[in-house]
Amino acid sequence: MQLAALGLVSYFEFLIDNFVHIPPTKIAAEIGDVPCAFHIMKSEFLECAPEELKRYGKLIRTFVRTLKPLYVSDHLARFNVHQMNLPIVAEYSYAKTDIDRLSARVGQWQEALGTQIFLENFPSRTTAFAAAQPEFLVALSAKSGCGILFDVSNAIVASVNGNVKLSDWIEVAKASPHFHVAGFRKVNGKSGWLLDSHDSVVTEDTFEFLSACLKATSVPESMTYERDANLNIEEIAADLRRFQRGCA
Amino acid sequence: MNSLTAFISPSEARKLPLHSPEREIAEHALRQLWHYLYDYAPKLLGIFSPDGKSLLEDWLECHYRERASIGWWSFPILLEHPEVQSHLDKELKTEILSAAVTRWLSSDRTEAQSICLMERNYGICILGLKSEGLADSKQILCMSHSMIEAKDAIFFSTSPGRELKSHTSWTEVWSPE
Repeated sequence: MQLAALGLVSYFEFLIDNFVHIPPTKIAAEIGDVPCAFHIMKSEFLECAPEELKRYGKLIRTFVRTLKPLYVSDHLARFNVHQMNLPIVAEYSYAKTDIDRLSARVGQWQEALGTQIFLENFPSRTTAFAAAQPEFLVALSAKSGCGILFDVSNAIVASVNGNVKLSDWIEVAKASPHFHVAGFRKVNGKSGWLLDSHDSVVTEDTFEFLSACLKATSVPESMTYERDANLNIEEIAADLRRFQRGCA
Repeated sequence: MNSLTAFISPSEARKLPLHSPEREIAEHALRQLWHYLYDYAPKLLGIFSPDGKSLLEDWLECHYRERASIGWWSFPILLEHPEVQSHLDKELKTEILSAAVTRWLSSDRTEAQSICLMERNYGICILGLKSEGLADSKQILCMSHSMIEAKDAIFFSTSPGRELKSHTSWTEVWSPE
């Protein structure tokens, strides 16, 4: 709200899983005229039982109808192993042979939600699957009709951890009307992998890559700044002002 | 086993090469589970000081053997751990059950408004309330009760209501054989 008052925020993105117990009309009354978007973190839409997908989709659909979000996004990722919950989200394998099955699942999820879903690119942690991700996302979008939410910082993290060329992400950026951007950091340890931590300022290489993406694409419809920890308003405001200046 | 099992099992993680990215990522994942266990249970951590790892490993490997997910329901299992039992008093039991309620409040994806955990022997009842509006906090209330006269077990109930009296359907919390 402080950032909105400063004219630095024009919409809110809700991690909607955290608010599905609040009547959508009540949320609408609280946010007033400020537009919103929905990010889904806990659908596990690739792995959950079909009846659970329908139940959760039906519940979120009531929020979609009332609040009319700019977009509804989710994650192409693994949340379980052998039906046990993972403490951190794991990368999908992007096997080309999976695309028909995934496309059908995305279709079921979109039908349950009653709207298009935008899938976010994953901040790969290793080289295991990373290289296949950009092409796979574009192919899945074309096949299923889903959109892509392009997370600029995740692309940089995936490029460092997974040896993906940054230029491979440009086609993904071109296909994405909605962008995410956030801080990341190196995790303590000898391997020095990057964690999509959302707890720090946006790095210089992120601003540079974002500039390159913006030159190659039309201006995105939305750009969401993610910050989950170390909520230093001055730092955040400085990052947001830089986005408003076109990353200069 | 799939390498992702190293995210939930310390023994599986130790099979990965030391200092490899895979090992360090697994250790990062296991660190999240450390926080899951202890962030809302500081007295419990004090019992297993300095690092709490012995209890954490027992807890995780117990779930892994049973192919069971870690979740809010996993906290009452701690009450059966021999070393926890030797320190168990009303305060520790309240802390552990409150931690379970806190985790439910953060993970439930339904329209339910509250959860209640109840235990007979100490007469403890923990009521957890989700936030009412966007800017409101979750609430955890600890109360005495004399409602359950059954066996030595933990029961839970979730409700679309926010009052204790709205909790009428009780289920025993899962525990390993």
